[in-house]
Amino acid sequence: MTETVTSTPKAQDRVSRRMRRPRWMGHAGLILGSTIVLVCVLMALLAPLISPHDPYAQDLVSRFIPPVWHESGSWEHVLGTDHLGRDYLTRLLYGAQISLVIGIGTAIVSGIIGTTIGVAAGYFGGKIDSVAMFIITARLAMPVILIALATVALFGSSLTVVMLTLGLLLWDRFALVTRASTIQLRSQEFVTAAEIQGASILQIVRHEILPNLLNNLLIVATLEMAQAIVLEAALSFLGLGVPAPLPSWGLMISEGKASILFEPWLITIPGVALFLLVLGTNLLGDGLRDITTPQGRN
Amino acid sequence: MLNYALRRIFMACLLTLFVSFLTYGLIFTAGDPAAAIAGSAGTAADAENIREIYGFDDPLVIQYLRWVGNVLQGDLGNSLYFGQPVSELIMSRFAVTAQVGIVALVFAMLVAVPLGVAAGRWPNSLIDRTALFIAVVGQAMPSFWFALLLIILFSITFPILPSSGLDTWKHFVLPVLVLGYFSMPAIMRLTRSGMISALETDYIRTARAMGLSERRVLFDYALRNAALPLISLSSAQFGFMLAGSVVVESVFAIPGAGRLAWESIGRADLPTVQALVLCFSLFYVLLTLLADILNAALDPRMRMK
Amino acid sequence: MLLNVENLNVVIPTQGGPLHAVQDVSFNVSKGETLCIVGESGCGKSVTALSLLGLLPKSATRSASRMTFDGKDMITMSDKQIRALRGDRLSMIFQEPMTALNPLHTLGRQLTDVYMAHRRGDRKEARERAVYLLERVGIARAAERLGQYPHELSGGLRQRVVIAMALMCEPELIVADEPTTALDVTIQAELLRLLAELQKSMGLGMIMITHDLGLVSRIADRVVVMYAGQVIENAPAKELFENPKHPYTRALLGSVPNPSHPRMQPLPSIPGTVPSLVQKMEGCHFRDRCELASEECRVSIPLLEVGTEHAARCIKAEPETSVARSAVP
Repeated sequence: MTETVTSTPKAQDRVSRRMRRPRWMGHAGLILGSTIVLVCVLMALLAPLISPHDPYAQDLVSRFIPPVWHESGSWEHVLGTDHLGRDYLTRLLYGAQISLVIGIGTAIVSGIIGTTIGVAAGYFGGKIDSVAMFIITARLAMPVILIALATVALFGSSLTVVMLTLGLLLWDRFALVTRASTIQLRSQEFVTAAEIQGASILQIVRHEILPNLLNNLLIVATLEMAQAIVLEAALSFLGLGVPAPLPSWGLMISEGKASILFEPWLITIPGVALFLLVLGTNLLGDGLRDITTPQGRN
Repeated sequence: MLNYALRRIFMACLLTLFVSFLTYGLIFTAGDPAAAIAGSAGTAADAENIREIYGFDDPLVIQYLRWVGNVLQGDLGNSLYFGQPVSELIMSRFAVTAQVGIVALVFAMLVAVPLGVAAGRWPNSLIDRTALFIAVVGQAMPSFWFALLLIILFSITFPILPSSGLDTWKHFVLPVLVLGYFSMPAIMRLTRSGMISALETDYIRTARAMGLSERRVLFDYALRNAALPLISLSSAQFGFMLAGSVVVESVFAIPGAGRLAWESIGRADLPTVQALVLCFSLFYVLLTLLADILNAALDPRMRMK
Repeated sequence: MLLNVENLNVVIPTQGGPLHAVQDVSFNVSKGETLCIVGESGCGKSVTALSLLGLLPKSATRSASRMTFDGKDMITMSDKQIRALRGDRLSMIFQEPMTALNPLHTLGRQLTDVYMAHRRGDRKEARERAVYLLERVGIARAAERLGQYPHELSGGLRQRVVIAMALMCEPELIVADEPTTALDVTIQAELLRLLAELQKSMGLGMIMITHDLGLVSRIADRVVVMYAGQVIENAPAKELFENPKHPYTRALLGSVPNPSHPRMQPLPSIPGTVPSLVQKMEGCHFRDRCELASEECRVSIPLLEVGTEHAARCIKAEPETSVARSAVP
C-alpha cells in the first residue's frame, strides 16, 4: 500500500505542542454535557414525585392553555396544556423517561451486537473479518429510518419494539470502533503473551481485550444513545414510534404540529428538551473522547 | 485499477442483494401479506385465493428469488395502493428526492468546506471555535424540529417562504436548509482535521520555505490533499441524506421517494416499500462505489495499482 | 557579508515551561562561503535554521540584536517580504526527502510553482528552467520527469529534485538541514559532492547543518559548534580540526571512530546527557559533563577569543594549541 507517513516524528513532535482542540474545551464540554444529562436523568427518575399532574389526565375544558409566561398562562400549568388538556410540564418530565430508556436500552443492545461483531472481526481477521465488514457495509447501505418505520409498522408500535429495532440497527459504529481497537490490541505484546500461556480465546477477550475497549465503548455508547434518542423522536413524530398516549417528546411535537400557528409552544418546549438532551449527550461523548485522548494526538 | 473497480462493483451488487433479502425476510416474518392485501373487508377465502395467486405459500427463499428475477427484468411489482407498476411510481419520486438532495449537498459543502478550511488554518481561533460550535449544535438539532422552527420563522412569523410543495425555487429553500445542515458538521470536521493534518506535513513546509503564497499553499497544496477523504464522506452523507429524506419530505409535503415510502408503510403497500428499500440501498452502494473509484482516479499513488 | 546574525534567541513555550532552544547565537556567512553548524540532536541547530526563514511555529518567540540579509533587517520584515525572500534569494532544503514533496502534484508543477511565485515569467520559461536544473542535479530524462509524481522516485532522486527546487530562482544563500542524513551512505556522498559543486559554480553561500564531522572537514570553510542551544566554538574549519579549544569540541572530535583505534577497546564517548533547555540554565551548559569544570564555570560565559577568528565559550580553553586527533574519515 502507499506510504502513509507524511511527516517525520521530529516534525510531529515539534508541532504536537499546538493542540488540535484546546484542553479546556474538552473539560467545559464534559462538564456541561454531564450536567445536562444528569438533569434529564433526575427529571426522569423524579417525574412521579415532582409532576404536578397526571401525564395522561385529559381535561377538555383546559385545552391549549399557554405557559406561565404568557398573559393567559397560570402557575397551575407552568408549561401550559396540549390539545387534550394534559399538563405539558408533567408530560415533559415523563417524556424524559421514554427518551432515556430508549437511549440507554438501544445503546446496550447495539453495544452488545456491535462489540461482538467487532471483536470477532478484529481478533480472528481473515474470512471472518471479511464477512463482518460485508455485514457492516450492508447495514450502512440500509435506509435506517425506513427500515425502522417498516419494522414498527409490521410488529406494532411499542416502547420495546422501538428499542429493539433501533438496537438491531444502530450497532455499526460499535462494530467499527471495536474492530479497529481489537486489531490494534491484538498485535500488542500482552495479548501474545497470554496466547503463549495457553489462555483460551474467550479468556483473552475477556481479560486482555475488553478492558482496553471500555474507554472507547463508553464514548461510542454516549454518541449512539444520542442518535437513538433523536431517531425515536423522529419515528414517533412520523407516527410510527412510541404509541400515543405515551409522552414521547417526538410524539408531542407531532401532536402539536397541527396547532403550530397559534400554539407554537407545543412544539418548541419538547423540541428544546430534545435538543438539550441530545446536545448534552453529544458533549458528554465528545468530552470523554477529548480527555482520554493522549496529549498531542487527536 | 480495472481489477479494483470490477471487484468493487461485484461487492456492490452483492451488498444490495443482501440488504433487499433482509428486508424481504423482515416483511415475510412480520405477518400475512395475503391478509394485508385482502384488507379488512376480505374473507378467509379471499386471503387463500390471494395466497395462491401471489405464491405466498412458497418458502421465503423461493419467493425472494422470484422477486429478484422480476427486478432484473425491470418489474418491481405492482403497488397495492395505486394498482400501478411500482417502477413507474418511484421514478418521478426519486427524481424529486435526488434533486433536493443534490442541492442540499452542494449547499452543505459550500458552507462547511470553507468553514473547515478556515478552522483548520487557524485552530483554536475565534473562527475555529465558532465553526466547532455550529457543528456541535447542528449535530444535536433534530431535523424535524428544525424544520418546524424554520416554518414558524419564515412561513408564519415572517411569511417570506412557502412551507409545502416544490413549485418555485422558493419552495426549495427551507427543505434544502434542513436537509443540508445535517451533513455540515461531519463535512466541516473532516475538512478541518484534514487541513490541520495537511498543514503539518513536510511538503507544506517545503512549499512555504520556497516562498509560495499563502493562498496557493492553503488551496492548491493543503486542501487538495485534505479533500480526498471528503469525497468518500460526501457520498456517504448524500446516501444518508436520501434515506433520511423521509422526515423532511413529510414535513414539507414534498412528493419525493421518502414520503412515498412513509405513506406506503402506513398503507401496508409492501411491494412499494420493498422496492423503495432496494432503491435507497442501491443508491447508497452506487454512490460509495463511485466515490471509491473517483478517489482512486484522483490519487496518483493509487493509479499505480 | 551576506547573512549576519547576532544574538539570536528563540524561546518555544511547552507544557513544562519555556524551552530556550537557541541562546545568543551569532554567526555570519558570505557569498561563496560554506558555514557548517555542527552539534548533536537537540542542540538547536535546526531551530536556528528555521528561524532564519521565519518558519518557526507561531507560538515561538524569536529575537536578535541583529539579523540581516544583504543588509536588510529580517526581524522586522513583514510576512510578505519574508515570503518574497524565501525560495528566491534564500532557500532551504530539509532532511526528509521522502515527505518533502506534495504527493498530488507533478514534479514539474511543484518546480514551476516556485518559479512563478517569484518571477513574472510564464510557465514555459519556468519549465525550461526546471528541465535545465533537473539535468544539472544529475537527473536523466529531465523533461519526462516533469510529468511524474514524487512516489515514482527514490529518496535520492527526490532530494535532487528538492535541490533543483531550491535553485529555481538562483538564490544567493542555501540553508541545508542535514540533507543527506536520511539517505544511503553512497547516495550521501554523491549528493554532497553535487551540492559542493553547485555551490562553487553558482557562487552560492551555504549553511550546512550536520552532525557528521567527516562531512564538515571536507566541505566547510567555517564551522560553528553548538551545544544545548548555544554556540560554544566558532572557527575556520582547518583551525577547528587542528586546534579545537572547547572541551566539548575536543571530546566530539575524539569520539569520532577512527580506523587506528585499537581493537576491542571501548569507543570513546562523552559521559552524561545533554541538559534540558526548559528553564534557562546558568553558566556553562557543558559543565556537568566536562572534566575541566570548576566553580568558575557556574557563571554565564561569553564567547572568548582564543585565536585568529577563533572563539570559544570556555574559560579553560588555553590559547596555546594542544594536539588533538584530527577527524579524518
